[in-house]
Amino acid sequence: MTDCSKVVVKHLPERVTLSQAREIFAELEPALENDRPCLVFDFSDVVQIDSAGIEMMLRCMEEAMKRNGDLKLAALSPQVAVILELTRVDRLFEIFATPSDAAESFHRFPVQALRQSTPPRNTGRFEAGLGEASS
Amino acid sequence: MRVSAVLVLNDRPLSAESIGKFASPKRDEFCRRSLSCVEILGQSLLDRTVARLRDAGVQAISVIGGTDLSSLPSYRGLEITIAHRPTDRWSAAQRTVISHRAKGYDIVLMVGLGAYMEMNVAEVVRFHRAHGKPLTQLEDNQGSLDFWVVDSTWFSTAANGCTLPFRYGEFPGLPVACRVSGYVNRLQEARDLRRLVLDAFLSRCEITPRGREVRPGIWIDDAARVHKSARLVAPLYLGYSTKIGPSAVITRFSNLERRCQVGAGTVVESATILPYTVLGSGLEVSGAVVDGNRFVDLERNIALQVEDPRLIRDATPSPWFIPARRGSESQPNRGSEGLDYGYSQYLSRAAGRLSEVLFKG
Repeated sequence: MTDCSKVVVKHLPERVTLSQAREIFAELEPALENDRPCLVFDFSDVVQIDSAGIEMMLRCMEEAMKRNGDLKLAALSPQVAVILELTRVDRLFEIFATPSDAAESFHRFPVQALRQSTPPRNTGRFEAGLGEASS
Repeated sequence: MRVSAVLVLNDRPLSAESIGKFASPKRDEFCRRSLSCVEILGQSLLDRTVARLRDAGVQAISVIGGTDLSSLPSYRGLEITIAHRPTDRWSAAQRTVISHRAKGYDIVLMVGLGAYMEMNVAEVVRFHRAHGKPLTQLEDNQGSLDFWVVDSTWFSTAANGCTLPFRYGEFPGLPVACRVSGYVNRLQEARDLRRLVLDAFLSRCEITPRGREVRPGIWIDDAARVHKSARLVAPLYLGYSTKIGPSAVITRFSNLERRCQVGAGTVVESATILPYTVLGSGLEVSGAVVDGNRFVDLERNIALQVEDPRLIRDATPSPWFIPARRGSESQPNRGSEGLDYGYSQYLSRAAGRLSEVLFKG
């Protein structure tokens, strides 16, 4: 099991574009330099994300992976969900309905959270906002 | 009271001619081997059924099936009968029940393997005895199941020479129906197999993936190798000695069974990859069941056979080379069937153009 005693939950601003993305990455750099960094991005307020924002997410993920950690996403709005799906980035992340579910998932596989939002027929997505009708 | 079991592999392997001629892939059409013998999340349904029967105290277990059984390990205490033609298996079962009677077993559980069933065997036997009839058949809310509880004395005398499997109306008032409350998956279509995997990941059934849960929701079996740039997104299972190439993405509710290989940059999403399947580089495998070069797309509901080995191929070793299974498999595969990692080719195809962003620096 990954030892993630300290999960960092980053609440993202309404817009995650070029300038904000740089600030966010700079802010997270110290946390990413820890051993096994465990990060959660809380998207509950985000209404706009552009390619710079997505690149920042991927860089954070890459840095976390280098140190055997992970980055997970939570509370995606439908707008953000569409962008992530469009750019096919959604498949690279574990996505949860709430930041607490995401934080918990570093310690225990959240079967209950997955069950509540039953995975769809084929794609198997279980996040809020991207769910389709289950089979 | 002594209880034994006769397991009959009730499915048949795929004939190559049938590929591509149908719209709804059935069990026989997506799996080269008997599905009961194929590992799902690290263990075959036959293994799981045998373990369940043994846990319930069933003393003798006979297995009747096709040539697939010959490649299985010598199960300790199992009597294995090979019957090449599916039609011969039930007549072999008939002889086996009679031989169990001769060995002193009072009750025989006769199971047609095909569906995956989780039932309380002791409860079923209790039900059978409480009703005092010689033949009981399990059923669920979709109808009857190929699982009978038979009094061996009755079978050797009154029912001697009857045709198997049992049919309603052949014997007056028989069989007695016993409702099972446990998980049942009939595994009739490729979609059912995917559902079984999903249900296992969601703990809706008792199947747990083999191997070690290296991170929450990620189970990896022994000798599996994952490139450091590959991305794994839970829940998923990587079987024994699987190899995941650079920048591959294995994501959400996917299971890759024994000795599968995934080429560089290939994305596997919500898919079941059956043992000894090699996926080439830069592919997108989503909502599918793949067995060797047989590919079932569940969204389009079609099955096809892919002839280009650079895309997908079967890496099943020759029968004489099949290694002994887990317990005695001490050496990981060091063969030369390595992946053709085309570093220059995968970047633009892996997860859309954003993979370029991810790996450019």
